Amino acid sequence: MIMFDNVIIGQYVPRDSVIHKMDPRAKLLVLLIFIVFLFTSRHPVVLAFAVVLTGTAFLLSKIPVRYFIKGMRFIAILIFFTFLLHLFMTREGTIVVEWSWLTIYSGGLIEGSFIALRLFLLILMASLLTLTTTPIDLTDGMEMLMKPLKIVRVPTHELALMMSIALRFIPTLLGETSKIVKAQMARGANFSKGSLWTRLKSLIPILIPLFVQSFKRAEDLAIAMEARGYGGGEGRTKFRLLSWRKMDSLAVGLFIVFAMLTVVFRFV
Amino acid sequence: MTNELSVEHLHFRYHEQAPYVLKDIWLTVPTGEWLTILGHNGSGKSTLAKFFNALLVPTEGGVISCGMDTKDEHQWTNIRRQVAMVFQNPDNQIVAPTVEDDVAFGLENAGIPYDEMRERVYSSIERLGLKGLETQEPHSLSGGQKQRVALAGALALKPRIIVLDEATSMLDPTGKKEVLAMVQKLKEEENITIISITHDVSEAMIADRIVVLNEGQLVLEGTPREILKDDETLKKSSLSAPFSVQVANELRKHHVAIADDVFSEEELINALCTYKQTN
Repeated sequence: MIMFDNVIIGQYVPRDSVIHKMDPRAKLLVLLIFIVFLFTSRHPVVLAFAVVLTGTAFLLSKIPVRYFIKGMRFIAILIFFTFLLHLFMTREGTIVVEWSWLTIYSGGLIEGSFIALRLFLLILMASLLTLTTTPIDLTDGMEMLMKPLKIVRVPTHELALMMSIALRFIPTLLGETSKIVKAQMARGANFSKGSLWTRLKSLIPILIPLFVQSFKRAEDLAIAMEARGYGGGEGRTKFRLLSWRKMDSLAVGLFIVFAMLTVVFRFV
Repeated sequence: MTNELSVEHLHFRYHEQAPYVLKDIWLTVPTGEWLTILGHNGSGKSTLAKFFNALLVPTEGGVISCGMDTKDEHQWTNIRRQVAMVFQNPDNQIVAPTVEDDVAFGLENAGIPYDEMRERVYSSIERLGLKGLETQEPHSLSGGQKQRVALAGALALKPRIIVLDEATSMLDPTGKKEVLAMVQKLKEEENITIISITHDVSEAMIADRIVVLNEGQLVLEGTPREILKDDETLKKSSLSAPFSVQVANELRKHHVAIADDVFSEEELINALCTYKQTN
């Protein structure tokens, strides 16, 4: 899976840091506030505040910079293209560059930089969440945060369980896929030659056995869960307790201040 | 001695018109016994195992598990807390993303309070020699370790019966030994009744009692020594005697005077040594 090596969103990096120790609920809340309000105002003060917040969070998390840069390569291309798009498409302000068919306006330059910066901050914050939180804590946090939705009959416990089972089976299924690929190659299948269409078609002999096996697994797992007394979320206790500490209230408080600031600069 | 499990006059088919998968099974298992249900593939042995903890309910007849009738739907959770099960494929029965969370799964379902749950989870993990692997992900464990995780999950529930449904059939010889040794230990130290379902005669040798299932019917019953020495009868149920017994029988056919009671590998070696010294 070479192509996933350069995407770090969704991977967990164990470190002993303040951010790692934060309650997953607080981290989720903070990220939610950040995403919603980052795009509310484009006042320089707000952006500066956002940069400071993200930078501090990153430094506190003790994630190695090199690891992060390596993982951001793919995202950087995406951000760069967004920048270019805004650069060329915006026709406001004064002309900065005029060269044959190409004209760049100052408005485009500013707009492009704003978008690029915000996207970068957003992705940095989002990846920090998964880099510093184990998947199991993340699902726990989500389950707890979604609890109020139970009133409108959202099956929060089931959703969380589904997520955690999915996470648990990703490595198992990846292993299985590579086994099937090898088995089909041993039978003469070729996955790297021919047109795009032929290559796509050659995936069918991988996908079908994978699906069949997954259904078998699902059935086995369902029986095993039943045998272990699983009967839905009612009357269940939890092995993991989340503990909300001062640190978490502080972080959430800080981001609420940020949110208010964006609103103030936007509407006042 | 009381019976942990009693099966009476059990008939089962998946739906009407379908042929009977299990026919007229009578079985009682006393407390603390290791019973092996032996049968070839398709003999109905795994189906039979599912009646012990009410995953299936008899079409006719009844099953009483730990004093509870499996037909009573309200008792199912209680029955499953008493009768724990370990399945064949280690990958398909681990629910949670880490070892400790998986061991806790059954306890969470049973609504065990937090402190007690923590204590039980870690003591089970330790009992099964999995210390240091608590936060490991299942895919990084060996087959034997995964089955021990499943056993730890079962043990944490403090069950009266543990049912092993071909629990060692996908393991390598080391993993198999490792798991069986643990089961033996649990049986002796906790007085847990063991019911193991298998087609592996070498695994059946360590049982207290064996029943042989063929085409949905119980055909033989006895101690491992009685059952496994009779190659001819075993063949009728598409099974064969353990390797040591086969060697002894074959030698006898060639007029080598080997003692009649040769059963285990160790006994075979002794018999051969005695034979060499006397001739």
